[in-house]
This record gives sequence, structure tokens and C-alpha cells, in this order.
Amino acid sequence: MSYYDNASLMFLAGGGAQKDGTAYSVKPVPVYGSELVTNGDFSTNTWWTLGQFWSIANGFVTRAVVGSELNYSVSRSNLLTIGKSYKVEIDVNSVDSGSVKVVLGSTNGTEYTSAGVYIFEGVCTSSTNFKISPSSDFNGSIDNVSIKEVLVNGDFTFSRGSNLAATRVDAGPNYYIEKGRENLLLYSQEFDNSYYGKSLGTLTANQTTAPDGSLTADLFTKTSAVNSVSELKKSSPIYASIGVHTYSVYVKQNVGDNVLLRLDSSGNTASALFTFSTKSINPTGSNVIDATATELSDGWFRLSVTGKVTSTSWSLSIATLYANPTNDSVFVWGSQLEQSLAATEYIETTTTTGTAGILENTPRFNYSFGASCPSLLLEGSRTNLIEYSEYIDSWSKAGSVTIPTNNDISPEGIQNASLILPNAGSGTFGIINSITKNTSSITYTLSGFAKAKDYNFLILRIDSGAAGGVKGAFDLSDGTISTAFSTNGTGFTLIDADINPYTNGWYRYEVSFTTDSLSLLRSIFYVSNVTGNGFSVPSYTANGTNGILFWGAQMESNASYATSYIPNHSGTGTITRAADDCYKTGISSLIGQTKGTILIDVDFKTLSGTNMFISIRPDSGNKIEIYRDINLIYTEIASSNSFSLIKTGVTVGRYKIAFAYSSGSNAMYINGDLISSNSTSFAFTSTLNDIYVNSRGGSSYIEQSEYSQVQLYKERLTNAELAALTTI
Amino acid sequence: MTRLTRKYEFVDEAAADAAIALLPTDDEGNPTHEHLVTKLGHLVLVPAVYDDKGNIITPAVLSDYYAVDVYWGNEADVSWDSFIVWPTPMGVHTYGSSSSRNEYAATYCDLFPESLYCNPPEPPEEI
Repeated sequence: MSYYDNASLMFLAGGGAQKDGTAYSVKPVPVYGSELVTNGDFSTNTWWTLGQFWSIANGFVTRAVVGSELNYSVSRSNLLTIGKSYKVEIDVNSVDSGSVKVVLGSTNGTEYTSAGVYIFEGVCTSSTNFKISPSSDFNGSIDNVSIKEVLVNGDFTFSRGSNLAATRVDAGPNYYIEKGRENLLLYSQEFDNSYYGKSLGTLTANQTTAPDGSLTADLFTKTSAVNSVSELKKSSPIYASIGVHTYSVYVKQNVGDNVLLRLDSSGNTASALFTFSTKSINPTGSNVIDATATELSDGWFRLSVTGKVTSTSWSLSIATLYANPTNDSVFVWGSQLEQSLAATEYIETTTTTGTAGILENTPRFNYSFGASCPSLLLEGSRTNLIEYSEYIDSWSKAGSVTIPTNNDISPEGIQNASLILPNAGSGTFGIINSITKNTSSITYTLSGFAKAKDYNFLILRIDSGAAGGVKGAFDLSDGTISTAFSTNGTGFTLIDADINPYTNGWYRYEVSFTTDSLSLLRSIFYVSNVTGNGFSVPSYTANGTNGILFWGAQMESNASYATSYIPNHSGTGTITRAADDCYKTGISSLIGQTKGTILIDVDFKTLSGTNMFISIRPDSGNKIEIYRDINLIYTEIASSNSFSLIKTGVTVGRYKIAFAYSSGSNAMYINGDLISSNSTSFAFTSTLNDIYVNSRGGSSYIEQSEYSQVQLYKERLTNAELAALTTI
Repeated sequence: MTRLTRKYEFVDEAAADAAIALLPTDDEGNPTHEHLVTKLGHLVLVPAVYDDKGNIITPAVLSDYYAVDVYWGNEADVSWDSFIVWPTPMGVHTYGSSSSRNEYAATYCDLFPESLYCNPPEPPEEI
């Protein structure tokens, strides 16, 4: 359609184009000003002002300190203009320690902790100076600095500030749930580094070909006697947290038949003894949850041990040789420590921890189950109150059940689903999660993933230990509600219950309710071969082999619907995912100031609260907004003459909403139909220059929505064009 | 930009609400200082004990103070400094951020260099 050519800004989620901190728009093509730096390659010792500890030589600017020193910068004064946007490109040639960032006036860029070519875009604030600012312990070198004014750029700035608490549904054909992951160990394939201790053993670096084909695998050799410990270990301070952790390492036999991995938590251990000749691994220790040995090619094995850390004072041993004779040895490579119930794909680290998957400011392009195109998932802040959301065996049991951990493939696509397995015999069988809450009536939403494994019915009871509660059941054979959810007695109010398909036979159940004022919130999940309700659970005879798979439980407070899964591996705490923040400031040239058209393509599944889909503004007196309030959709202008166009009777689902505005001719189209129009005259008294998607720029008016498109036009499109543009 | 996790305690919820209300906003109520406030309430010091029917045998012991975590976008509001507390990282609640967690842990060890958290013991030599 030719009018697409006229769009001043076009964001299409189908492309899924993003990097950490940016969601790219298809239009406009960015336009930049001329180069502002005259000695960006540091070929001479000119132009820049060098702070203490910096020097220019050999085409680099280099900082060398011992330990920590005052963080003087490399700078250039009076280079920038306050309020203008700039694109900075910088080649961080080396980072031996610490981090370095660029600063536009007082706007701090990303802290770079490893070598690479980086681009930062930001608005200059407070002063006109440009700085390359090191951390106090930064040692490294910089090259090829370029600074250009951003004349036109429609890419959205994106921030959330949560990586370990955010998930999305990845693309098909698997539609696995993707998490943010982190390897907490440094120098993951450099065991000769002093970061790792060597107790009664020697470490020789780069002795054989590693699993990745590089000559980086090290050899650890025992120097102690038989039945005496030799350890390659990490015992100096590392980040320590309570809860489930998995550490893993690649090992290859050299001399000797055994190697032990150990995670020590104030004397409580999770250990795994691996025997090369039998390819067997034996988990031991009071804190151990699981251990695995995966055979790879060329004699390599990836070993892992999963343990429950119960103290912040802990350490781990990568390889321990005990009963072996002196001079026994083992090849080691690729250590990883992560908050997870199972080892995930290896992440190499050097001077900083390594992250992968969803990063702190990654826009989440989400594929609803079966979707061929992604949409941009934007959500408010939520907290998962369930501790050990995946380590179900830590929960209380209702009846005679066993909970094998890491029993099957979860919706994450790895072997970390638990099986709720009724033991053979007659009775009722389930698990219990308990939360201590404030003594007031609170709205919660409980959700989680379940899959039939020969038993189909997940019967639910939510209560406070008193007679009142919520009850019902799900049929996991076809993803339906087999016993309608309802309240039991007094005190609780049911809001909604639902179940939706996920990957590979998994379903996500959701139950929203309001509690009584007692201090206990208890969720009891019964597994059964017949349906029932949680206050009247039918007894049956279990065969000891059938059960239901379980993963990813979540309880959100002050929430009448479930949001995306927030993993919580802590046994003693809760975890919050901060709100997604998607915006673009300083783009008045892309916004129609007297006339224009806005299109959003949005899918929402809640009518709760107010959801600000888009807010274009400088202030409250001059703005264009499209939002949903309960079951009404508004297109609204605040200006010299303010007005709203309203669609009533909205239900959840997908909406293509266009708002065309021109003084004296305004129209709202939704899904191909004219909803409302007027001939109101208006004029903005301040320039429209900022766009916020799914918020008004603050923490208010944010609900969960998914966006496929955002388009701006500087023309008021015709009604025929609006109808065509919004037809689904 | 590393966001800052900071933890606070107030005498009660009303005092916490009063401090929250004083955080600056624009004329539409949008915060002009980037932050996310998470009210944790009176933390459980000793968990309650229940029987298998959910009846309380021993009530939970709760803190006298009302806990609030704040996720500051850049710098923490100095007017909240008098309420700040420093539980061992990360206390009972986090914002699921690697960088913010590392910043909190590093600041904690700057403030309490002799703490056990910052000086973990050597692992035992025995198997």
C-alpha cells in the first residue's frame, strides 16, 4: 500500500530487531551529523584532555593503574550541546580489569567490561563535555572514538533492569520459554588464573584440545598422597546467594578413574563423584539435589551437580582428587555456576560474569504458542512470591508422594521438570505451597505449568487453612477446566480461572482470586486419575508410576491476571521483574504537530485497570494518547481544545487502532471500522516530541500488552486509508 | 546504567507511605525521579508452624519494622537515607538484575569489609 511510504515512523515487531537497550524501527533510516572528533584514532597526543593514569601511545589511549585509583577521565570540553542526541562509537581494545563508559554531559553510557566495538546513543544533559570515564580499577585501552549528532532516529529506547526475572516464549517450532542466564564464575576456562585455588595439586594450562576445539583445556595433577585431598577450587569471595545452584565443568580422563565436584555451604555439601570407567556419577551430601554426567566426543564429559545453598558463606571445588594416587590427573575446562535446577548451555567468562538469553534491557519479542510472528511484550512490575518455583521437591507433601527432580523436559526445553508421583496405594496425593501474607484481603493470581504423565487431572485448593477458599480442577489431557472453579465457604472470592497450551503438551494454568484476611495463603495441588475439587478430593489407588509433571509455579500479589513467568530459585526470598519501559524522546520531526495519524496493533488479555498504549507529548497539556480503561478504548487529545473519541464494550483480544487528527477533522478506526469522529478544532501550544509505548513515562497505567506495530504519519490519512490500515 | 537496589525500614506502613508520597512527581502523578517501590511489609523472622490441616500451631514472628525495597534508576533519593538498612545480600527480595545485585554486594562489602559474607571461609579439606 503506497501510504506506508509516507509513514514517518514504523515499528514492526515481526522483524524482531533488537539489541540490549534498543528496539529497532523499520523507518526512518537514521541520519547523523558530521564527525565531531578530530583525533579519534589517537594517532597523536592532541585534542583530548588526559586525566591522571591515561596516556596516548601506539594509536591507543591506555589507562594503567595498580589496584584502585581516582577515576580521572579522557575528555573533551565544550563539544556537545545540552538537549541534543549523540551517537558514540568506541572501540574498547582491551579490558584487563574494571570497566569503562562514555558520558554525554552527565548522561552515563553502558559500562563496558570486555573488549569490543560499542555504540551508545543518548541525550546530552547538564554540561557540554564528553568523557571516557573508567571505573577506579579499569586497566585497558581505547581506540577509534567517533561522535556524531543524531539528526533523525526512530529506534525505541528500551529498559527494564531485570534479566534473571524476565522470560519470553521463543520462536517455533519449539516455542520454549527463554530465560536470562548467568555464569557466576570468572575465567571459566583459565584455571591457571589465581582466581582459582590449587590445594595440593598443580595446574598446567592449555594441555589438550577442549570441547570447543581450542587448545585451552588445562591439566590438574594431584600432588598429595592416596586418600588425601587435592583440590582445584573457588573459595575466595564470589557472589553468594541462598537457593538452588548448579555448577558444571567439562572433564576428560588422563590418569586415574575418579573426580569429585563439591559445593560447600557452611559445611553442608552437594557433591558428585564421577567414575570414568563406568561413566557413572554418584550424588552425595545433605544439600545435593541432582547430578548428571553427559558424554561428549573425544573422551570429554560435562559433569554437573545441583545443590541447595543454605548459607551465604560457601565455596566450590571444581575438581577434587581424593582416593587417587599421587600424580593422578584430569583435564578440566569450562566451569559454570548458575542459579538453575540444571546445567544450561555453557557461557564462557573472563574478567566478568557471563550472561546470555534475556539481558537486563532486552526487548522481549514474544511468540505466543503457535505464532509465526513475534510481538513486543510489555508488562508492568510483578513479583513471584513462590520460593523454589521449580524445585518442587522442597514443597510440603499432601499424602504419600515422591517428587523426582529433573525428571523430564520442561517448557524451557531442558531436563528440569519435576514429577509429582503418587506412591502406590490408596489415598489422595498432592503438594502444598504456603506463603505468609499480610492480614488483609489481597488479590492474587496463581499460575504454573503442568503436563499429564498418565494422570490427567490437576485438582486445586487455595485456602488460608480455614473453611473458605477456591476450588476446581484442570484436565491436562486436553487443556480444559474439568471441574468449574468456584469459591468454597466464605472469605475468598474467585475472579477467574483459565488454562492455555504451551509447548510439547504443557499447559499453563491461572487462577485469580481475592483472599480472606488471615496470614496464610496455601495452594494445594492434587494429582488424580479422576476430576474433583480441592475441598472434595476423590480417593483412588495409585500405581506408583503415573503422575503429573510440574514446573514454574508463580504467585503474584495485587494481580488479577498472570504475567510472564518469573523464575525464583531462592529458598528464602521473592524476586521482582521491573516494568518494561519503551520510549523515544526528542523526535518532534517525526510527529505531526498539526495533523497526523497514529496506528497501533496491540493484543491484550486483561481488562484490568488502565493501559496507556501510546502517549505522545511534551506535557499533560499537550499530548495525544490512545489507551484502554476497563472496557473502553480512548483516543484523546489534550491541547487548546481537548477531546476524546471512545469505543465501548471492549473485550480482550487484538486491536488495530488508528487515530487520525487534523484540526476540524478527527477519526478513530478500529479493526477496519469507523468507531467515532468529530470536527473539533485544536492547536498544540507546545511541541510534541516524545513517544512512550505502554506507559505515560512513569510507573502508572501499565498493564500487560503485546504490540505488533506502531506507526506514525505526518498526514491525516483518508477514512478509506484508515479502514484499510486497520483491517485485520 | 546500573540501577541501585536499596533496602529501607520504617516504623509502620503509614510512615513508608508518607516517604513514598514525598517522592517527586509531575502534574499527572508520573515520577520525575526513576524508581520502583516494592513494599515487603513486616518481614517474617520466624515462620509460622501449621498442622496438616493448615491450622496455626505457632504463629509467625514478624519484624516490628515495615520493609520497603526501592529500585532506583540512577541515584537513590537522599531523603530516604535515614531509613536505609543493609541486610546480607540480597536479603529476602531482589529485582532479578545481575548488575544491581553485584553493585549491592560490592557496596555491602565496602561498608562491612569484615563481614562473613565478604570473607567466606576456606572449604573443609576433608571429603
